[in-house]
Amino acid sequence: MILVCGGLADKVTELMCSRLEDCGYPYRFLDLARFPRGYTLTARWDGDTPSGYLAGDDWRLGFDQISGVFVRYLGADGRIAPAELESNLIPSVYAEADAALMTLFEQLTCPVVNRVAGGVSNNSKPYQALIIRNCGLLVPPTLVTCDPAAAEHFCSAWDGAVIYKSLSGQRSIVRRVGVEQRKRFDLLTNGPAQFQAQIVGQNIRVHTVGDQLFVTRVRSDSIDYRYSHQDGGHTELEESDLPPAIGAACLRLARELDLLVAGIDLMETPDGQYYCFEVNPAPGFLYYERVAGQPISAAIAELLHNGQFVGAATPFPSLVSLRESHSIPGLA
Amino acid sequence: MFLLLGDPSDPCCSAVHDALHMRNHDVQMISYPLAHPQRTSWWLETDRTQSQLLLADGTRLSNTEIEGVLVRDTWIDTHGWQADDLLYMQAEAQAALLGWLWSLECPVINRYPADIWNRRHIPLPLWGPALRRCGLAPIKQLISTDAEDLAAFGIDSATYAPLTDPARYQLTPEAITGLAKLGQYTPVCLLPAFSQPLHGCVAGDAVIWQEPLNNPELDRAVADFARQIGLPFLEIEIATTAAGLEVIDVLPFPDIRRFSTEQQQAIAGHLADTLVAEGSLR
Repeated sequence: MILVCGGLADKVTELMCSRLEDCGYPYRFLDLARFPRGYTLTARWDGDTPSGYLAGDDWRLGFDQISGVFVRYLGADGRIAPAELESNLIPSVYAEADAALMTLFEQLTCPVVNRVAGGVSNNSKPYQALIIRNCGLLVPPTLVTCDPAAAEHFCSAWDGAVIYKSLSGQRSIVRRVGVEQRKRFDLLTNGPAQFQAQIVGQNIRVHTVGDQLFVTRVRSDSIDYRYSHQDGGHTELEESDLPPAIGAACLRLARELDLLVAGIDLMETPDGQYYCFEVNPAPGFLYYERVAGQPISAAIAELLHNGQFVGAATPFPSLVSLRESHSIPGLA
Repeated sequence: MFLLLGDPSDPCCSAVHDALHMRNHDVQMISYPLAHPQRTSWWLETDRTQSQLLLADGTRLSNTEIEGVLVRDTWIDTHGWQADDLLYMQAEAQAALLGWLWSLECPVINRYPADIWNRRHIPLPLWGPALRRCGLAPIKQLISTDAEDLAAFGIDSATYAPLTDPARYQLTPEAITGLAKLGQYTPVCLLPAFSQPLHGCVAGDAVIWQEPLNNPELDRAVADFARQIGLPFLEIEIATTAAGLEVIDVLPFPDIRRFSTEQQQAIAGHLADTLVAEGSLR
């Protein structure tokens, strides 16, 4: 039995439920907007793996009956807060409820899309960039600084072809540094910002599902194609492929981060180089599936149904490889 | 130059500062390295990484001149920020710092993996496999929303242990009503009865307990655990349960104030030695 955890209003979760129904694969849905109301969870740890059960109104699943878990955690805005709870208690109640599920899913022996530990690297883009280049992919020349003079020098060195974006997991629109931004460089002393040389080429979105790759080429006239419509830009998506070495590096990266499903943002330059911008541990693959016809949800359904690709199931996967090798180019 | 990243009032920073000074090393304490009054830049490319720091006293440091870094609670100055902007900026500042620490070639105590850096308190079950590999037994735990399962766990002697916080609350028989109510809003984590816990601190290769245990096998197991998870500075909490000596919690951000003054100095000395032992933490 597959367990799907998410919000009914989340389109990706909705797509996964529909796909599982299409495939005829039985699943149970745990509504994270309400959890734990309407559900019962009991997990006991008296060994490496938990024992126990999860139950809804008319179903009960022992942990050993679960063949795979698909989970998309919700932010506060996706949840229905208990009206009787004082508002100052709600964030900690949400955090505890999420922590219980994360702890459980981290240690189930079935495939989990995705365990949270590896995905946390996305909360620090430069940390993730170190892992990305360790896996054999190019990363854009980057400056992290709180020094206005250094930022100005970086922009000049790249003839102004520089973008800025958030360092953390906070969502931001990638923008080119212009005259207005350069006027505000003095504010950098308050805290660091991230600048990158603008890489010109075609965006490629790679979704990894276990050991499968789904490659989508994005033709867009916007710097950040995700927000192309806001800029009056034009974007087209089509199925594509990758050189074997790049594909292998993408799979290595997903494995390194213990992500059974990952959304990897690449850019192919006119001279055939592939730069990697970041890895999304909770990719919104619906867009690529609908527009480019990529059968991503079907591949995830197979993975969850078959119970293969269990993943590392070890805490702190990035710790092991990054620290053990620490063979970061230029540092050895 | 050694950098100690943390609040100047942090006793650990102060003690390690003194220990490094006594060993004739240059050392500076910095609240947060990637903001005023520092001017710090970190260049990251596919085949190289380089940092340049201009410290408040005018000292210029490149990454190759940093001999070692101790990482404590290190945050940007919150003064003058609006609440929403501050939350964003703190996330940005922590993200930048984590990446920068991993880019350094020198010893860093601790070079935290992203999940520990972001979550701060890791629920004990997640340490379980690594603890067991080293011969350490974590205390058994129950996480439940079910009033009957919670009651059956032995409520009169159990301890409520939130998953996101190291705090713990000893329960009374009357607590079942409150726990059942709490279970409507979030799963509740319980631990069985245990004796007065004892804190141990790993500092490099040394393990220092609040009270002498004279148990070399336990010391070896704890030191081995710290090595396996790659954190040369951590705190571990043990207690006696019905099953024997078990681990109650693992704290990757140690608070040395729980230890005596002499023990704090010993911990700081071992940390200083570990930082100075070039290459030991690379």
